[in-house]
Amino acid sequence: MTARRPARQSASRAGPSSDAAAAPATAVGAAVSSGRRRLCAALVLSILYLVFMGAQVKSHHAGLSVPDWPLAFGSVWPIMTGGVFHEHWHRTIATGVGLLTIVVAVWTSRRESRRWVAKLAWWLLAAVVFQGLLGGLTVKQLLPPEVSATHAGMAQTVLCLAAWLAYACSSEWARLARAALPDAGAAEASLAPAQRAGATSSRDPRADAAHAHRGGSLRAARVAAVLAMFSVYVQLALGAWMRHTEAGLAVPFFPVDGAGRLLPEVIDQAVLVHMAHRAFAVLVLLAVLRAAQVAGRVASGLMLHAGALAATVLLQAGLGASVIWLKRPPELTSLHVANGALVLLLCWLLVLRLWRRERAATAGSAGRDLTAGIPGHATGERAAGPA
Amino acid sequence: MLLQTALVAGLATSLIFGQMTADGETAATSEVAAAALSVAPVAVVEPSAPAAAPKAVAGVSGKILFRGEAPAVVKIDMVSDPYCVGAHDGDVGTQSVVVGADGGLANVFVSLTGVPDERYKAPKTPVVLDQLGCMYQPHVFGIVKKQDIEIRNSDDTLHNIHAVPRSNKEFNIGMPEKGMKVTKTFKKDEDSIMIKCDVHPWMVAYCFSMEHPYFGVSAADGSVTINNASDLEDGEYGVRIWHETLGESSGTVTIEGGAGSFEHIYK
Repeated sequence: MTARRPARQSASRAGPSSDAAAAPATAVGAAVSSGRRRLCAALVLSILYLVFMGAQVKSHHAGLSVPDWPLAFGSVWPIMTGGVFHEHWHRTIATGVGLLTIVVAVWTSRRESRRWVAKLAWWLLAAVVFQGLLGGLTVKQLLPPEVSATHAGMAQTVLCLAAWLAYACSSEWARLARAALPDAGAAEASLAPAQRAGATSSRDPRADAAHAHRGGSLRAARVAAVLAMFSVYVQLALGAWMRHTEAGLAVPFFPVDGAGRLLPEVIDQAVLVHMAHRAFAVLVLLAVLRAAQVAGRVASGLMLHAGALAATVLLQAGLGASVIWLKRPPELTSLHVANGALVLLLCWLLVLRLWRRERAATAGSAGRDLTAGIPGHATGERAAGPA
Repeated sequence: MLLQTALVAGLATSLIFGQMTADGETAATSEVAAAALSVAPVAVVEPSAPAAAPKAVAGVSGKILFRGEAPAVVKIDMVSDPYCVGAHDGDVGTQSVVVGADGGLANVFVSLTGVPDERYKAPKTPVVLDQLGCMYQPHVFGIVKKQDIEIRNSDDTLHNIHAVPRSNKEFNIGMPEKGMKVTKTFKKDEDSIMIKCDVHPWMVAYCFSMEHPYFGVSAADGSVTINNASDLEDGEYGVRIWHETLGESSGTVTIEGGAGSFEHIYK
């Protein structure tokens, strides 16, 4: 096993911020296989679906329809009827996600030469296990709002960790590392055959880097994306708090009532929580649209991503208003929750993709190597500095 | 590796013990009859002329009436569980406002106030709360605090019994099999404790945990008998009246020779 991972020894300390750690110029083991990449992507999609099903449990008030945990009515598979369907299906999908995460973590730790990526996979598994325990605690403690809201918020963290892992294993990550090398031909030569084909992607990261220099600052775009992501995370936490304190219809009209009033006559805590979610939504909308605009401007390869992010956040605003107008139909409300998670996911991936482009640009000018530890690369090649 | 081993062991344990009964308090019984259900068809009851004041009979009794346009009966959508649909011949309405042909209002909890401040013993006979046709029978009931409640599942589908008190201890128990019984109680006095089934969201019952035994619940015709009130000394007592959607009200009743009557009209 050790022989298969020679680069681990040299790149073991190389975290996401230190890919340029010194490494022997030896070929590393097998490339990040398409199977592992697809599995990581499938994991991200599964978690997104799990978020939707979790929202369905809350939307149908089925959180306690299965009173025991980890079993359900004393068995592994109860009669899937009424609220049991939502609760137990959520548990079943969660079990699937847990098993998938175990496979990903084991596979990554056995095959991945970048130690920080292997660690990330184990952290992801720890987060999934913790999330599962939180889910059990909500049942055992009879749905206390603080535990339920934490469970909902933790789901977003798990999603982001999985997306980070999937991106670290993606072909784009490797391509951007190679983009910093002085000679594209040398970079090509350092690739495993399977990856060489991937390097001929129509999206050229170097073009993005050059485009960035012309069109604006990658760093500024990344800062905008981080702010957007942070605002979305806060908004999701506010949404979870609102849902789990039954304040979702505390203000039953949008944007104003029949008399043109913005607020109901009686202002209580539920109204305040609800209005905080609404008011913050404006900030989120502006922050996300701004991040999408800047990212699309500085990196032409991210135009599609930026467009999808803008469309998703606009859809999210529409869903939020519809939930009020239609008096919180369960499926629509769950879609609002899941789409919120999708907005966060797209923001987080935008941050990562901008950060990699920024690193590629700065490493290229500083003569640093970003390919260290990436499977399939001859490490130790350094980009030429400006001098 | 330790984590992986623990997870695999946990999964294996779940599979091995998957068929075991989860709740030690529950016990399956095989002799709960599957009583045929007779559920009134969904209909808006037309209010009739005021009923005559009830005659004072042995014991303390009264009549709860509803005057005016009764709220439309809301049909329960049981489609999420085919068993529940099949358990009824026709549509089933919610139990929140049930008005009889003569304007009698059902499911109203009535209790006396101003009764002697004693320490009343809880009866040894349990009150039965049955789950029948995916409905609670009865919908509203009272106990003397610490009196047992025998909860039954007469349905061939699973239910969970989830009590949501404010000052007593909350509980949530699964009853996956027909014939199961479980006994619970509330140790403190508390009004209108909601008991619900999260599997079937329309299933709701209300329990009153009382300090004393002088209470009753109105029947389908609005008539109500106050338990044990014939034991009270002659005098005027307060009457507290509660309905889940129409709210609380109060009145008085004079008891003479162990008998008395009262009437209350919701409008």
